[in-house]
Amino acid sequence: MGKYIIKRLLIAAVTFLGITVLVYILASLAPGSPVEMILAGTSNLTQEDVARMEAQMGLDQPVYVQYIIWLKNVLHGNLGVSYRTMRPVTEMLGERIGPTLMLTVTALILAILIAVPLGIVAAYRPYSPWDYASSVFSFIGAAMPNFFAAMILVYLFSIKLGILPASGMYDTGTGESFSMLLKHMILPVITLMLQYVGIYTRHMRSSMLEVLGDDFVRTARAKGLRERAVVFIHAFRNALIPLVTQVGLSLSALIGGAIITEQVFSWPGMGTLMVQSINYRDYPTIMGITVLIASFVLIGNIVIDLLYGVLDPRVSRK
Amino acid sequence: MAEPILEVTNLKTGFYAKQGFYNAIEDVSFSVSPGKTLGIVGESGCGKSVTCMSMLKLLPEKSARVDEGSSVKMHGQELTGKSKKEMCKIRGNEIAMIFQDSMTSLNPVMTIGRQMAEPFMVHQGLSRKQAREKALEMLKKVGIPSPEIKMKQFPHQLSGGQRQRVMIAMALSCNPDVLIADEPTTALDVTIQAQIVRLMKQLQETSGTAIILITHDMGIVAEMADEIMVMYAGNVVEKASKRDLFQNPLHPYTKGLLASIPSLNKDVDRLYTIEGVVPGLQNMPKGCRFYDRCQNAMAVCKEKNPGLCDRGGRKVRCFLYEEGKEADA
Repeated sequence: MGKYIIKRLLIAAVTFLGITVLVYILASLAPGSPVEMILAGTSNLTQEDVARMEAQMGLDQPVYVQYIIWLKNVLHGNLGVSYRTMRPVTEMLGERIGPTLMLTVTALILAILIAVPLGIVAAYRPYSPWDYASSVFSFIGAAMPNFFAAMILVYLFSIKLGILPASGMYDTGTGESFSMLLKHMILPVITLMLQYVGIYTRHMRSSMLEVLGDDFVRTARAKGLRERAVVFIHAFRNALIPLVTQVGLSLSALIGGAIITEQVFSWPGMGTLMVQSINYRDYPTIMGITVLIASFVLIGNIVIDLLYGVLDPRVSRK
Repeated sequence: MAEPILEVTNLKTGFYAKQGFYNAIEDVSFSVSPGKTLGIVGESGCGKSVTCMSMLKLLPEKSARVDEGSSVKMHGQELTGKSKKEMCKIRGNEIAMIFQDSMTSLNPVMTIGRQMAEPFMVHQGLSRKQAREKALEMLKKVGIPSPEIKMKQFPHQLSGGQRQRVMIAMALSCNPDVLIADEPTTALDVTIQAQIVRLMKQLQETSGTAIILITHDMGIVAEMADEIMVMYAGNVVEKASKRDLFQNPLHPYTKGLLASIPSLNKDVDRLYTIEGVVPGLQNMPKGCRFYDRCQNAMAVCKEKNPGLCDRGGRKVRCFLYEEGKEADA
């Protein structure tokens, strides 16, 4: 097991290096010099000023030298300085990562908690009213675009009913309390969750349906186990395995933030920062976010693989 | 012969399909006595497994229905009307079952020990620790090497023969009166088959369990069964003691089955086969179900399905043996 983890970590390290190379190349290929971006609006700019600025920022060096310097900084936890705010990128990401995770992790956990029982019920009584209800609900959830769901929710709960805030994390000027934060989280979390619930319910239903037809379920029944034990002890763990894959695929969205949802609800998270940085061609920030998301996905995949081993003994011993 | 422990009369089970309701087995009656083995043979799809699944009420309620006229009596107690809860007390306790493919019949994500302990916990109310000790005992009984280690392993880490031993141990853990073995050796190598058959016989001798052996392997029935019931397309076509059946098969289908066994002594180019296939549930013929494939088919066979008639202590379903027809046989 230990050997397996070390192997996985080594592969992840190589992949990480590859990602940094790609990110850097793409950023340096992008048109427009950052210097022009920063100095835009300054009058009486001479060619010498630009050259001096470039030398100051290390931009006169060959690309591979720039890359090595940048990588060294990244590995030391220094993602550079934002062209837009002139603040360290790490500091900006640090501010945003909390709100994003708050939103996405809550949505993901709630989605799993709702989808798993919904899928089991649907699979246990296929083609029953319960099954149809859960199918309709999950299809709507999976098919509805985030921004549309968000707009409907805002229209209903913020405008018509006026019971929930439509944007931000806190009301301005009233201080920051936990209950207020919760209230602000409700709509974006529901928006994000709807999609996950839809997809996970379908997955849970189909894998449960498949497992319930398996031979070992029949064996469990022939042993005299009660139906509840058959479903929740014998079938459940087997049915969870495909769901873990699906959740694993959602991990990148977890840290990248829900770009659209965050925009709609003006949530100060990674997604909003990403959009702002792209608009401003703030390359250090864009690169920082990309590298962060990539590392998160890498770690997430390792965690999912290990989780597989826990759930399915056939995987871990190979 | 001792009092039968399990008596099945007129068992009739059907399935709901898109176009309607179709009977899969009809008029199936048999009984088993302690320490004896009944072999049920027939091709795939002839209703062997449905018979046993109906007895234990293991068929899905939504798609299958056991007819009201059917009777399954265990110790004189009727099982057909029992509730789900009551059936749970019987399954694995009084009637246990072994399945064909031990790889898929064991839960891949649970240890052998955990799965083996379940019957003891469910039926005897033992604690997990006590149940595991009992399970270990059972594993030793069925001759699994290093049982302590195997208890902690998962099904995929065992060989096919070992897994089937585990299945047998699990089925026998609560000393069932009846053991249903649904093709217990089909998925195994020939040498392992012999070991498993020997093990089952040996355990039967010590426990006196009645065994219902479902198989399409005539060799296995020849070795294990005391009585043999031949099924075809949901009907019992012949029932006789092993000796009678092998020495003097009556029904054309039984004759065909026995003729299909390759012989070591004769050198033939082509093996004998019974032409055709078993009719499907949705196009069961009105007359004898074997009519299309029968070499002795007569005009009457097309019109009417013969009843099961008595012939010197054995039963056969064929017009060749009905009153007044015996001379033609």
